[in-house]
Amino acid sequence: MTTTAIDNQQGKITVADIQPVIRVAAWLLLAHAALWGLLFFRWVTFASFSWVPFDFENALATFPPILAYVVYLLGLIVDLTAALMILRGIDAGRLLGLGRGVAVIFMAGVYWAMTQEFFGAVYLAGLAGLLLVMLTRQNAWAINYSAAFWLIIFFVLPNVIVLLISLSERGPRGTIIYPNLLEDGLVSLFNDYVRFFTPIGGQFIYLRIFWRSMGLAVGNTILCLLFGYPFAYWIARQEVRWRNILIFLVMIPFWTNFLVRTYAWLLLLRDSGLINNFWTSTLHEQAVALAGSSGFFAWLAEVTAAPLPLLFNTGSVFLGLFYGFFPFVVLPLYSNLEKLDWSLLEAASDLGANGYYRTTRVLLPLSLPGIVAASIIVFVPSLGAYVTPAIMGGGKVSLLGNLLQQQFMTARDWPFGSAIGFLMMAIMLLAILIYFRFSGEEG
Amino acid sequence: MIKKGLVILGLALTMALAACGGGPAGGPAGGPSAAPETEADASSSEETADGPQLADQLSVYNWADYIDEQILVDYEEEFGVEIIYDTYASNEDLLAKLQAGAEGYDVIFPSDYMVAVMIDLGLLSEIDLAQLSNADNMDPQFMNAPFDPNNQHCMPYQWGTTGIGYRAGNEFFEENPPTSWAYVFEPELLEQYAGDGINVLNDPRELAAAAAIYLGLDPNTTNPDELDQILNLILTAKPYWKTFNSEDFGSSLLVPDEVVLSHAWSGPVAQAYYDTYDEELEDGNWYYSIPEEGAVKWLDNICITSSTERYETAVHFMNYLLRPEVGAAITNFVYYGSPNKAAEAFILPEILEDPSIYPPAETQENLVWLTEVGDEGVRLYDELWTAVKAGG
Repeated sequence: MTTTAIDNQQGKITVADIQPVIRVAAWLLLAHAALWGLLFFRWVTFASFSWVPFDFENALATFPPILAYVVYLLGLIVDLTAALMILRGIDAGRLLGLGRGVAVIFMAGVYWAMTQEFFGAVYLAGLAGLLLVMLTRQNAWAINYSAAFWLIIFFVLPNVIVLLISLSERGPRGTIIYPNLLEDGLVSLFNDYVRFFTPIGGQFIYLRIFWRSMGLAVGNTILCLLFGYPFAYWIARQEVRWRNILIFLVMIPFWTNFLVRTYAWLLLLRDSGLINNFWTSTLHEQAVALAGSSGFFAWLAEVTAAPLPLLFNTGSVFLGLFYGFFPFVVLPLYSNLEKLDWSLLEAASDLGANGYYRTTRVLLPLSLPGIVAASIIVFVPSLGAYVTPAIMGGGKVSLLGNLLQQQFMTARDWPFGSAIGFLMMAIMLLAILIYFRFSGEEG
Repeated sequence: MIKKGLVILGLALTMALAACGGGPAGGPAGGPSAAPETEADASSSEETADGPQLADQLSVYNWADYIDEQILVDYEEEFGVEIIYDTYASNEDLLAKLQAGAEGYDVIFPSDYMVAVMIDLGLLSEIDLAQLSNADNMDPQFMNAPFDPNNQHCMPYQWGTTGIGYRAGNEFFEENPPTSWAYVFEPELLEQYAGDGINVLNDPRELAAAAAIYLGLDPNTTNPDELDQILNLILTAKPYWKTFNSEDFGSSLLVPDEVVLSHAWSGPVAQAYYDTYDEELEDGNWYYSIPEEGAVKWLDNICITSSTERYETAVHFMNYLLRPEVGAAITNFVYYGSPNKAAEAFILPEILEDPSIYPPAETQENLVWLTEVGDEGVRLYDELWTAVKAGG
C-alpha cells in the first residue's frame, strides 16, 4: 500500500510537469517498443508463417542469427523502460532515451557500412535523431526536424554523392573509381572539370555546347520577358473578376502533359503538317491558278512549291522553349504587378512625367523583383532543357542536357557527367545569388 | 506499476533466453543468397521426372515491340508460369538499370556489343548448352559470335543490318538507287535530294561505322587519325542532313514522308514498307538497300541475368524461344531475320524472299559486327560524337 501511494504521489507531482514535447517522445518510444516486439515476433515465426522477408531482414540474416534476437529484445526493453519511466516522471528515463538515441545513431552507421541497406539505416538514424532533439527539449528543432531531415536525405546527401562522383575517375566499363587523396593528390581530383575547358582535336567542343546552351537560355529569357511583361501588365490592369479568369486561362495548358504538347507542335510544323499542308496545297493551288494575272501570284506560286522549313532548326527550338516557359514568366510578373501601387504612376503623371519616364523611372524599378524572379524561373530550366531541343531540334546539335544524357548513358562516364552537372549548378546558383541581390535592394 | 513493468521485462527476458536456448531458429533462412541454391537443389532432384521444376513467375525484360506477345501468353498456358513482361528503349537503359542493382529481372535481350560489356561486369549468368535441346536449330553463322565465345552466356534472338532506307517513287532514286554509302556522305549526291530531307541514326557507333566503311576503314577502328577522317567526312555531310533520329524514325519520319532517305536499321524500314503498303499497287513506299561497300550487322541475344533467382525457369523459357515455330512467330511479327535455321519453314514467304531481311549470300559476306572498342575507344567515340554535335 505504501509503495503505491508514493508512486501515485510521485506520478501526480511530476506528470503535470512533463513538457509536451517530452511526452510525445515517450509515446514515440512506446510505439517503437511495440514495433520491436512485432519484428521480434516475425523473426521467431519466420519458418512457421513463411513471411516474405523485408530488405532489412535479409540484411540482418547475414549476421550471426543471435544478433537479431539481441537487437530486437534490447530495443524492446530499452524503449519500453524509457517510455514508462518518462511517463511516470522519472528523470532517468529521459537520460536512458538520450543514451538510446546516441547508441542507435552509431548503430545505424555501422549497420549501413556493413550491409549497405539504405532505408533501414535512414529510418533508425532519423528516428533516433528526432528523439534526441525532443528529449533535449529543442522545441523549435523538433518542429522543423522532418523538414531538415528530408532536406538532408533528398538534397544535401544526393549532392554530396554527385560531388564525390564528379571528383572520381571513370573506371573500366564505366565503373566509378572513387578518389584517393593520398595517392592522387589534390589536382587530379578536378580532371573532369578541367576536361570541360580543354580543347579536343583543336576545338573547344564542350565550351561550344555550353555557349550555345547559354545563348539559347538567355535568348529565351529575353523573348519570354518581351512578350510576358506587356501581357502580365495588361492582365493586372483588368477588373478583378477578369484577372482571375485570365490567369486561369494562362494555366489551362498545364493540364496537358508537356511532352504531348511538344509532339502537337510537330504535327503543326512538320513538312506534312497543318501549316505546310495549307502552304503547299491550298495556297499553292490558288497561286498557280492566278499566276498569269500578276507578278505577285507568280512569285507566290514559286515560293509555295516547297514547304516552309519550320521544324528541326534553331528557330523551332526557340519556339518550343518560348511556348513551354511563357506561362512561367506571366505568373510571377502578374503577382508582382498586381500588388503595385498604381497611384504612384498617377503621381508621376501629375508631376509631368511622360509615358517613357513613367515606365522607365517608376514602373520598371517597382516591378524589378518580379522581372528578376521571372527571368530566373525561365533561365534555369532553359539552360538544362532536354526534351524540347531533342524533339523539335531534330537532334542535330547538342545542348548541355543532351551532353549530360550522353555521358551518363552512351559513354557511361558518370564522373564527367557529374562534373558537368555541378558546373551547371554553379551557374544557376550564381543566377539565384543575383536574384537575391536585386530583390534584397528592393526589400 | 513498476512491479508490473518488471514482470513484463522478466517475461520478455525469459522469452529471449528461451529463444536463444532453442538456437538460432528465426530469420529468413540465411538471407537472399540462399534462395537460388534451394531452387537448384529442388530442380536437380526433379530432373529425372518430367523436366525441371518451374517457378510460378518469370520476369522478361525486352525491347519495346520486339515480340509477338501472344508467344508469352502461349508459354503461360503451356507451362503455367506467369510472365512479368517489361520493356526498355536502349541497351544503355538496360545496362543502367542492371548496374544500379535492379533485381528481379530474369531474361533480357542485350545487343552484341552490350553482351560483351555485361559479361565483363558480371551481369550475366553462364548457360549450359546441354540444357538447351533446341540449340541445334540455330544457324551456325550466328553462334560463337566474337562478343560471346562458345555461347557461354547467351543465345541469338533476332538479327538485322544497318543500311539505307529510301523513298520509292522518288524520281532521282528511280534512276540512281542508293546502293552506296556515298548517298549518305557525298555532297554532290546529297545536293540532289537534301531539300526533301535526310535522316541519319542518332547513334555514335553506327554513324561512325557507316562513314568508316565508306572510307574503306575498319568500322571498329580506334586509331585517332582514322577517327579524324571519319569526323571530317561526317562534318562535311552534316549540313545536308535534316535530323539525327534512331528512336522513332520509322513512324515519325519515314511513314509521313518527312525525309526521302535515311541511314536506317532494316526493321523500321520494313515496318514502314508494310505500314504504307498499297493493296492495288502491291507495293509500299519505303525500300531498303544494303550498300555495296558493306554494312553493319547486329544480333540481339537472349541472356539470363546473374541476379536471377529462377535460373531453371529462365533456361526453360530460353529453350522455348528457340523452338522453330516460336522463332518464326517472332520474325513474322517484327520483320527482323531469325537466326533460327529450323524456323525458316514457318516464316512467311514474303519475309524470307525479302533481300533486305534475308540478304543474298554475296551481300552477307560484306556484313561486319560492331565489336567493343574498350574504355579508351568509348572515350574517343564519345569525343567524336560531341564534336559532331558541337558544330553548326
